[in-house]
Amino acid sequence: MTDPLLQFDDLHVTFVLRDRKVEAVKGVSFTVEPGQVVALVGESGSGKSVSSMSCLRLLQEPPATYPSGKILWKGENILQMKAERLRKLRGGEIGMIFQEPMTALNPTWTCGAQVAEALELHTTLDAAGRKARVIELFNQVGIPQPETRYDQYPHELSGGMRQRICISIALACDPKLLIADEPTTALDVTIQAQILDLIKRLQRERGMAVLFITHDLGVVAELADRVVLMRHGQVVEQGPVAEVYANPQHAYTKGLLACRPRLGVKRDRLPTVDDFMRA
Amino acid sequence: MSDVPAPPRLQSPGQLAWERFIARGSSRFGMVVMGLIVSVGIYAPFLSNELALVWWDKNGLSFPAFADLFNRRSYQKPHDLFFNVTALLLPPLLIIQWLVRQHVRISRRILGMVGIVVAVGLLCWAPFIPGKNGWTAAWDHRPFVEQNIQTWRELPPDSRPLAVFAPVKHRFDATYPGAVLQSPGTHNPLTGGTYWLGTDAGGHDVLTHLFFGARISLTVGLVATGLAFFIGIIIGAVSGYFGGWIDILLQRMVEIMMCFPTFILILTVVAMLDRDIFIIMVVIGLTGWAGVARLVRGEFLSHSVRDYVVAAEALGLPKWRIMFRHIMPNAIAPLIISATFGIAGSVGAESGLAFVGLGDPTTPSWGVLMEQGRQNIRYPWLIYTPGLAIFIIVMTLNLLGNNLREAIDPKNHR
Amino acid sequence: MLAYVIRRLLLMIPTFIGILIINFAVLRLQGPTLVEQMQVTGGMGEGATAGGGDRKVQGAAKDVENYLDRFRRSGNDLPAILNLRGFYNTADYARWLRDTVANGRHQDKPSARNKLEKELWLAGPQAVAPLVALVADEANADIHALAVQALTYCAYITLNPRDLSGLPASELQRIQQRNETLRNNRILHTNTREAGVTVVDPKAAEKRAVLLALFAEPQIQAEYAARSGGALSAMVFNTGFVDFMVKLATLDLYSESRKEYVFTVIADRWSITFWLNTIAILIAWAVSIPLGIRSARRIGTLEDRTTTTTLFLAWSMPSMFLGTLLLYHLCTDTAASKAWFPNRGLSSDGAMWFPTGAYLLDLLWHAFLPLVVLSYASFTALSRYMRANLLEQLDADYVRTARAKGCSDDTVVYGHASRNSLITMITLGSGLLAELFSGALIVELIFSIPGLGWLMLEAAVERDAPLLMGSTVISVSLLLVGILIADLLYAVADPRIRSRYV
Repeated sequence: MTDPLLQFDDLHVTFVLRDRKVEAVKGVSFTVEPGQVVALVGESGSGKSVSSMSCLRLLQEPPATYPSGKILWKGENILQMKAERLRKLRGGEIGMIFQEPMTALNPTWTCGAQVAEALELHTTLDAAGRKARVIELFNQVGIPQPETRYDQYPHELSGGMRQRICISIALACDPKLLIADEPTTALDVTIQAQILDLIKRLQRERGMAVLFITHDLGVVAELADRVVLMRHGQVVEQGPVAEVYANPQHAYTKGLLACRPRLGVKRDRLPTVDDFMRA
Repeated sequence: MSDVPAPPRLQSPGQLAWERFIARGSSRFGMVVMGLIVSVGIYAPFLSNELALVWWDKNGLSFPAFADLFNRRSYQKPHDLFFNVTALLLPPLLIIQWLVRQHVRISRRILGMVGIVVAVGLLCWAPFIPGKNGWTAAWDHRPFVEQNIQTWRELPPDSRPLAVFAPVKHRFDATYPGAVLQSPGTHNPLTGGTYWLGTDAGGHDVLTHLFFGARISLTVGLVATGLAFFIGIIIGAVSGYFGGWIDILLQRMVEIMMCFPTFILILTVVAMLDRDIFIIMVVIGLTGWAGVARLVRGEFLSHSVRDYVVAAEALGLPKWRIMFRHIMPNAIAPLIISATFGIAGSVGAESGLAFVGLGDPTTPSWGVLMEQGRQNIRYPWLIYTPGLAIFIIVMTLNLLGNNLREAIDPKNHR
Repeated sequence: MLAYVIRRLLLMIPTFIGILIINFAVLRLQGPTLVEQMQVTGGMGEGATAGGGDRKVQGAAKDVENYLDRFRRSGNDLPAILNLRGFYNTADYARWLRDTVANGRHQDKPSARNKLEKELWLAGPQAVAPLVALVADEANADIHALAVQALTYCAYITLNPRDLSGLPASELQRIQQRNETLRNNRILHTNTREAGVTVVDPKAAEKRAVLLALFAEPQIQAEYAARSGGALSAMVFNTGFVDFMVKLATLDLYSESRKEYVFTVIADRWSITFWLNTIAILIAWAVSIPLGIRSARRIGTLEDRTTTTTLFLAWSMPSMFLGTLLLYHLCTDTAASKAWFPNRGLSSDGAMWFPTGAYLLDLLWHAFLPLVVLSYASFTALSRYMRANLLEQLDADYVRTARAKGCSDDTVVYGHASRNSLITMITLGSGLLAELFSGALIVELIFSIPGLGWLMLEAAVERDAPLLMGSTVISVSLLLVGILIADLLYAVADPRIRSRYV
């Protein structure tokens, strides 16, 4: 059996602060196969973002520590990688996009330069080649007038456009895996749909795997092959999306699914997860 | 679920910040140093005096140094009177504080304490109102020359009354013959004391000067900062809450004040007026409000659009009430931090002014001593003593301000 | 970009005017008034006649005239913003003089004293015609003595240093002769609250006749009328503020303590302060940026903690203390050590004749410690800011994006975060400029460097208002230029500002 693309094996993440320790992730295990879309779902503070950030070791160390567990990238433990190898991994093999497109771009660099930097780090293209590739990427992610955008600064673009720039940074070097950390949370609903469509299209075109972090169950149903539910730093339930939605095992999952508002169903008030947890 | 953490003990943000603040060793150190400086300022007449603290002769027991506290011939400035009153008032006040600690909230107790101090401070001005000499007659005594250490030493040893003297046997306003620029450790034949830190160019004991200088520094810090905050809070609040052209106008004023090198402005004003320590304090206060106004305005701007203020407006509360009862409490934390730095700044400004020769020559300020050090460059005790004193008080206040900031706003720091 | 510069410049105009107004208001607070000075010198009190003799009185009058000269040259004789003197008539003056007689001239109330002074002794040419009419009227015999004295002071013409060289000799002589006549014909009298005015001058009638004859000449009347101008225009334009602004604009401020025009004095001095401050800023930035970056990158290590603590202590240390310590330990010959650095000035005696290399070395040797003290205050603050700000930037989302695309730590710090830090630092740096100017004052004082700061200090100690005003205006202008440069740098560094104004 071949190694999965990415495998979380009993990952623990602890933040050691001055006066106390916070265990953010307490034994998370799941896998992402090549070409698969895995949704990591959970409420705020459930440890889903921390798990995804530790894939690229983006957490400040210290305070973050990894007392036990492994994250395997094609069989290689990310948590023990040398800095040099880690830099090749970041951007080169795994691309990542974040929640806040408004602040995720450097305000003093032009958009083109920020994408080209990724190419400069991971490819051997010369300056002209990089520019051509960036403009091609801009076309792919649906940025109109890419030549103009290349020389513009982030503050001159809208939130949706900035998220597209972020996506093109993440995809610049054809990564095998894209980690999307709530990429649509900070955007307008219409823009959200566009960005989701874009991610779905790019995933199909490139056949790459996507680890999609969200708290939106509707998005999961639309996009993902597998779903991993997290709560309080632990995995509550995981499995193929259809299976989990049809037949939730855990009380929390049942609660979450029942709490979704539905068209045509009138209620006095929407139930909360706690209603189900108490039962 | 069983592993959900228990909710933490309920605490107000203020209590949490205080716990974070006091948990740091440097905060406790700073508090102790500040406490020491304040105590030295308050009890300076008992640390350094020629009069006996206790005097027992054939006429009975008397306490000349205590009686002298309210003698205008000895203490000629309002701040001296204030510290003298505080010296007597502080112990009973602290005892009352301790007794009522179970029944009265800490914020009320602090407010009460501040109120009493301010009231005493204002009352201490009364005898200095010009033209109202009736006020002053009550405490205008002759100095207690008989119970002085100099007279005591002149008596033959067997007929001397029993007396307890202060540890430093010099008066802060006394000029001793032959005591100009004496090095530390020189003996004073008149009082039998030693100039532990030498004497200055005017023949005063430097250590005594240092004790009484603490009073000046503390008064300058509090009065100047208090005034600056009073003006700054009002201007900032009005500017931030009302907005519009009032805001534009006031912001222009703030900008002008920020552009003006404050020290030069203070210097110009003081040069044109009399060199009186209270004029200096007021001028430092009048020039220091711009930063406070800007800070308060920022807080008001960010809060005046929040829902709770909109709700209060919808209730029809009067504007001043919304401003000072609803929005102001949110601005208190940054104001406390800024006040700590403000006091340090005022102390620095006053000593700087004295250092360039524009201080009040009649008060024993540390800056005046430092100026003497600059002019008599070969006498290092005149540089080190006031320099270290200013450095320590400024450093301590900065330290407390820094730690307060980190305690109140932990995310801004590591 | 040009639009941005113009906008910043326009915004500075109200600031500059505001500063001028504050400055003007402050200088109006000026100390002893003319009446006090007259009492001190005995120009108008009993002292004038106590010793008897015309010569002594003339000496005292000369003192008052000198003081009057100072007032007029600094524009302090004029009301601050509204001059109503053109509207006073003979009856007004008669009333005030009778009040003076009734209340005695030793007024305790400052407001009454000010009124007396501003409306009688300082009123100048505008009061001449009404006072002449008053003296001529026999009905006012009771106040003739005082009126004549007021008239002689008001008609006295202050000659500015520029007039001395500019006016034709005959004209100059004519004015000086008339001043002399006025001085010789001042009526001497005693004045007490109880007695009212007692004229003791035996030649009073004679003197009055001489003065009346003098002011009867139409040519002289025309001259004073020309000097006073119209009542309405004088109300607005013949005021202290306008006078100050005009003198400032025409570089006409005159320093009494130095007997020199203010801007001539400043011209010799401002460049020293300018260069010292500029070099100090450069040093402060050159040291603090790398130090801040280094400290932030090694956060939590022993090195970072040592640096942070040292910077904190240094930041709390007043520069006057450091300066005086350096002066004592390094610039003073003592038994323990010899002086390593000079203790005053920026060059040795005769340094002008040194060869260039030696001259520069000498300059460096002199300027080293002042520069250390001057840059030190900004450098501690800047390093602390830089560290804190870089840490904040390193927490920012865009840094995470940069790391996620595989940037090395160096690229993240130098390529991404530092540049953004510097933008914030420019703002903070321009805020520190004002403090730098205050610091320059103390440093120049400690090391006896004849710069603008020291000049300002001397002016303050001597209460030389025009000099103080001129040097403050120059410092503030230099400061505003510094702030403007910082604004420009800010716009260059930050595309968000740049694009808004291009």
